[in-house]
Amino acid sequence: MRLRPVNGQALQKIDFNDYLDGLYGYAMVLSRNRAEAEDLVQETCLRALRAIDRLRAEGSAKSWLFTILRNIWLNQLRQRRTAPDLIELDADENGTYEPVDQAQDQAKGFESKVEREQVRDAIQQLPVEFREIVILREYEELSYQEIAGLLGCPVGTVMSRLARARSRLRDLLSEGPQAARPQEERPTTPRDKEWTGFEAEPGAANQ
Amino acid sequence: MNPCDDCAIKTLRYLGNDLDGQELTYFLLHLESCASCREHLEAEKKLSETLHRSRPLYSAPAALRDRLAAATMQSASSRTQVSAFSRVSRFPGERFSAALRSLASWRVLIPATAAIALCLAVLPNIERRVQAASYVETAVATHRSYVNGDLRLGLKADSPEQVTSWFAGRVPFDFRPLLRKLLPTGSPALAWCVTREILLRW
Repeated sequence: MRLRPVNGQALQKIDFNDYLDGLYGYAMVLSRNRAEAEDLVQETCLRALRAIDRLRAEGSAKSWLFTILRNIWLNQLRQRRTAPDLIELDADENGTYEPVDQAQDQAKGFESKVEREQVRDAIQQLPVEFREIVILREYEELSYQEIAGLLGCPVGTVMSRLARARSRLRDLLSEGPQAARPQEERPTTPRDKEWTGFEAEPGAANQ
Repeated sequence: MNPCDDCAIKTLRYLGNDLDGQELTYFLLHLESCASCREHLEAEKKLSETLHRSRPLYSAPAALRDRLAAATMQSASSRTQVSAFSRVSRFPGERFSAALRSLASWRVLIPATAAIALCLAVLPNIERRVQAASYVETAVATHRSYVNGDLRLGLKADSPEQVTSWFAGRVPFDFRPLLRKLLPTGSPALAWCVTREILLRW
């Protein structure tokens, strides 16, 4: 799945395979819905194919792709005019998508699988702004500047949001498996109300 | 365990190797004296390790990979076909128009106009100088031939009319002997011969 632009300009080659897991993970934390995440990733790649000529040679393909995906998701939100569905995790979600890691022995493999599921569940319990930040920084290792550009907010906001997200995540992980309960059952606090849901930013650009 | 006000962010920057110089020094010094921030740093380290162990958080389904691979191949082949077709089937007129349009841009026109104007201004002068130099060379060579006695006479006449009629048809203008008044009598032949040589060069 390697692409080279045909117009002869000095642009990047993009191998979507390199970014597929990351895009899918980002789509999952945004949508929390497997089918929607797949659609998001597919639409992202198709739009990237059409807009490949716009990617400058010095630009970051990764942040570009993630920006496309986020913009598609925002557009879908606007069209639906509803807050994102917070609960719709597929029933078979937890057991289906483990990364292949043949090197680990069975015990360690089981432990890592359990731990991964706990982390996944804890992240999914976070408000969407926190989920985004955690995925983009801790898993995709984008820089603060790239995340700020992607989210359309200052670098300082990214840092403070990440600090709060990690604090919440630490609390959820320390609570253990009982933290994996539906969002609506969690006691709401003023802080939760501040961050729950996501309002489409008026200035978010269409890709 | 609550870190100091700005230590939460500095801790993240420290874990991301984003602190250096004086900031790093002050942060490390602060850690030595603040147990709360030390605990916070350890907790953040453990969390980072936990998150990193759980990578990747999700893996794309195989079916999605296959669909995207097919879509990418299809898109790449259609782009190649369109590009090749456009290169082959483009009319010469269209290419010429495209070339004209590219040439018509001001970035091409202005330097081209300046170069043409320069050539028009300079070349005639150069041409005249080259011609003048050849006339001088001819005159000098002819004089030397005369001095050496190698100059052949094309005509020997005392009558201006004979000279005029001799030149008629050899030169594109009506030749009139003017040097008769200037030269000492008895020596018109030299003037005619020199003039003939110059005119033949002309």
